[in-house]
Amino acid sequence: MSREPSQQNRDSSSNSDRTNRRTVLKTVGAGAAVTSIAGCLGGSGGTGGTIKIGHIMPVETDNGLGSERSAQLAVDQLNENGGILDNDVELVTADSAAQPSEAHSAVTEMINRENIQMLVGTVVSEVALSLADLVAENDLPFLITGAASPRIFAENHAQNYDQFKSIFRPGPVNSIKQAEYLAQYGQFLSEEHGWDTMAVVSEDAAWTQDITDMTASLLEESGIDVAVNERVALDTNDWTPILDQVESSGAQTMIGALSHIPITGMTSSWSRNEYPFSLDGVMIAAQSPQFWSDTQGTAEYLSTATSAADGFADITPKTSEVMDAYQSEYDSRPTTPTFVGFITHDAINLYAEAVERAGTANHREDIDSIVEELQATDFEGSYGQIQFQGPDDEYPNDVYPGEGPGDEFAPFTITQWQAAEDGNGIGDTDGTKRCVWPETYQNGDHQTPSWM
Amino acid sequence: MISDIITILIVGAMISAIYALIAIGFTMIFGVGGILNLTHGALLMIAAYAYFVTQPYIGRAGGVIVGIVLAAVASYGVYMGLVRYIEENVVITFMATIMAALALQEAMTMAFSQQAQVLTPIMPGSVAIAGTRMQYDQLLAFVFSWVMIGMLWYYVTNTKDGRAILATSMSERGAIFTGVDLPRVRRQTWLIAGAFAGVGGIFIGRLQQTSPEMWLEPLTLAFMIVIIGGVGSIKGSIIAAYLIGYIETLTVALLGAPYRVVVALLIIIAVIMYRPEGLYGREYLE
Amino acid sequence: MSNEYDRSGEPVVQRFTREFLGEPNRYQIASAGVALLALLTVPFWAGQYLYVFALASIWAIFAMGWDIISGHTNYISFGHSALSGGAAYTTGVLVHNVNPDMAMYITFPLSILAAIVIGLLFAVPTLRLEGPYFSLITLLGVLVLTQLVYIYGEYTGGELGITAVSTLTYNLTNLYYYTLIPMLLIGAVLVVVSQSNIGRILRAIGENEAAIESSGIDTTRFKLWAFLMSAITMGIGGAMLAHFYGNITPSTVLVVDRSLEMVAIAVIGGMGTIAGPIGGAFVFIILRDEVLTVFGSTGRWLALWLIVLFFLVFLRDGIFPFIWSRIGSIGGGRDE
Repeated sequence: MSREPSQQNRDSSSNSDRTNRRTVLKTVGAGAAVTSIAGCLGGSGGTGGTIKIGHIMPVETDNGLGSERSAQLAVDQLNENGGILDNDVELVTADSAAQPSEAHSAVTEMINRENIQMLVGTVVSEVALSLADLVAENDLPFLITGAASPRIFAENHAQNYDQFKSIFRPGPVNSIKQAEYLAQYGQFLSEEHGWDTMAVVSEDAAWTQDITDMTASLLEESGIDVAVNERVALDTNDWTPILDQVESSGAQTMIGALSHIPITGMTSSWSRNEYPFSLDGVMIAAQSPQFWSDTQGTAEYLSTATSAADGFADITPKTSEVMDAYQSEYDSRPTTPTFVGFITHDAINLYAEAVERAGTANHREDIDSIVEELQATDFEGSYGQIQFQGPDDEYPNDVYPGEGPGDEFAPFTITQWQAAEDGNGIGDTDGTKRCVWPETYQNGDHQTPSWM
Repeated sequence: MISDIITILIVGAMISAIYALIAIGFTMIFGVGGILNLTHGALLMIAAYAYFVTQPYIGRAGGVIVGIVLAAVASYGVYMGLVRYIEENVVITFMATIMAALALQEAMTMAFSQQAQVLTPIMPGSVAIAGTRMQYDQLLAFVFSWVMIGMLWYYVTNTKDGRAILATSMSERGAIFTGVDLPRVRRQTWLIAGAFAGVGGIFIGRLQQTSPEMWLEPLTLAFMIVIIGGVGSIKGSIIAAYLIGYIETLTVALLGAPYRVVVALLIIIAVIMYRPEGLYGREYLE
Repeated sequence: MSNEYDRSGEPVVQRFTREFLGEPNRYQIASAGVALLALLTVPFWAGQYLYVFALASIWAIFAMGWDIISGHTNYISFGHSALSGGAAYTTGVLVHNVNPDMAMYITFPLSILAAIVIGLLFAVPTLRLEGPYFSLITLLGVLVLTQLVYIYGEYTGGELGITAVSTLTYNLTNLYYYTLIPMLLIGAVLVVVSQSNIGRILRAIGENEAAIESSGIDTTRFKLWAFLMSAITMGIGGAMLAHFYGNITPSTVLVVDRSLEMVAIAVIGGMGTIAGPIGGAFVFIILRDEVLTVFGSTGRWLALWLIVLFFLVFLRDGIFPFIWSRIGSIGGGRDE
């Protein structure tokens, strides 16, 4: 009998998740006044004003909280360096609870009560989709960090660019690209370990459709036998039948795309029962730095796709800067910025640079100049080099994905949970993450489970 | 083919045993007081979290005992602290208990986050039975289920207190005539129901998931099983638990997991249309 | 107190209020008038709460829809969001799959029709039985419908939902009146129904169905009528909610949490009174989005459910009937 799909959220590079947490609009930073100061309406040019940046995330999740803290870091760093256009920067945060309705209310109030100049956030695609009309109507720059649905751009910008021009996605690459990269990763595993049979298991949600449709057929094309290509119900909590099915199919790895379904139980069951295959894919919960302790160490050998290698590899010189700054500020869960944190940090900084170039942050009067400068972005971020696709490209304003997962543009990385050398584990554990793919950023070999 | 059938038989039996554990407490409370206790699912959650928190310190057996005791105490607490004052109004009780369950869900979220937790196996390891991999904990749940049913049967047929419970669930008026101390019967019933929920909760939490939202699905199940089995009938609930368990297993095998709740709804509608009193029920509330 | 002989000459308004609101004293009439005036002038005194109040208006519609069946007859529905969600999804699916420019005068009636059909499928078989069956079926109904949204993700967009629905307006003042006025109209109709003989019979069913039945009244027919009115109300509200957000996802319009929130609103406001749930919606939404936020995003829900629990135990009639009778007792009160 089903509970409505839900739970666990750790949201995703890819998308989505929901829970029933709801929103709280709160002002972080100086002076929590909920009034609109006349001078700040413009926020443009003049000194002494305040530029407010809105941040919307499901902050009950590690990815959401990591992002919120990273946004605060970015804002503090900007203020130390004189703010934006000589204005102080203030972060206004809200909890979307991964629910479109909550996010819609929160952002409406951020716009009308707080007069935010820019909005960053959301790892949840349905939230991003539902905010598109609202922010477009207000000509509000909206930088999406985390949500990976291509629909955001295909349904909006590609139809009417002028209306939706203020919405950008600095990262990660969209889920179609991710599906393609996952297949390339499968080929890498095949070459590395000689595996010829694989299983693709996706949760039955819209964000995984590309993985079911594309990843499997691309693997087949490269000569790998996809013995299982299943979609599992969102309220699955007994994994035994699925793991058994993968085992009996003879697959050497199960490539999963799992966000809503809690996978802690599956992971421990896989490890403790020594199912003879590797676990790879997009496993949102496993992106959290605390996944090792959540699963009591049974996460060892599990790999997941992520951006910035979750900070465990030096993608750009800025990666470790953000990682170190975060860790010197915060030592509670999540103990690293999470991949979303890196992208959010980048988003705020590239926005700051763009409005400096435009000479205005007044989105109500001069959105065209701001959009023009955002379009012209060529920014070295902590997760990679960021450029946006042009108005005439297939996904206008979406991040430029580069030629492949391993080049400098919007890199796509796979990390594996591995045993750490003595005392180097995350927190007090003896587990750590290493980047195992693509080769450009690799700092560890992909290990097969010891029992295989 | 044959092996598929055997798999379904075994998997179905294991899950049904847990469903029986969940439903028995719910039906007992319904039987003796006419109360639908919608905090029942939350009691399962309390037991699972109790095991999760205490097991690292006092071991697996200790964790199980604490989980069961805490669920029983919580059940008793719900009765003494809330339901006792409003039980004369069935509708208010009905809504108050679901609000209490929602409050417990939020409290658990605040304490343990939304994240689903993994429980340490009670008996680590697994064994293949006729080609089907079974964790020892699944077998343990099956054994626990039947041992507890046996103990309950002994209690209600061979002890004075137990017979009072049975009598009350058959006819409250009759029980009062024969001098049964009704408040005492209710208190005992809530304690026993809580203990059953505790066992069910630990196994559900261990074999499926332990999260603040784990209460709704078992509650829905218990509700369905009680309607199908017949209100207040323990025998009916056990049979209905196996019926639902096997139908679910079959549905998942033949149609896919998303259709479980659809099939369940159809069955419930069929039962309500053609046999509203359920398999072994008296007419609802006399 | 009031003199029987004087009634024929009394003013229409006074007669109307006497018949439909009992016999309010002048303080009660004055406070109801002030409340109505306050609602109509919100943009002038609480401009920054317009969005919250607009949202509360829609929830007031849902709470009234729940109240006319569940609050009156005590057949407690745990799945009323199946009706409103079904209507919202009908609007969305039509716009998304059939014709993006489909006019509201087509989608709106079809959405209401969908709510009625869903109601007929899920609830009607159980209305002739005792309450708990109805509760279980409505609960399962909303779970099934949520599952169907995922199963037919091709048409519904799964958890990502449908964004093609047009938004009512971005002007908050307009948005407020677009939601407030339909809410007040529906409220007026339902208050009249609730205070009429039909409403009295429905409430009597809630108190003692067997007694009503034995007096020769076909209670199932009355329950059906109440349910039909409820479904229509939910249909209107659901279609409005779709246009309020301009997008539809399971968690926004459908999941069981939404249903339980409707129950909570009616309980706080006062079950079985129609006007109570209207006020309850404003209290609930303001508590949730403005007041209890001091407890954090999870803590406020804990506080909210505990408040509802408090009402169920200590103030079963809800806050507005309580206030109403308090005002009624000013100046000697009614001599009942």
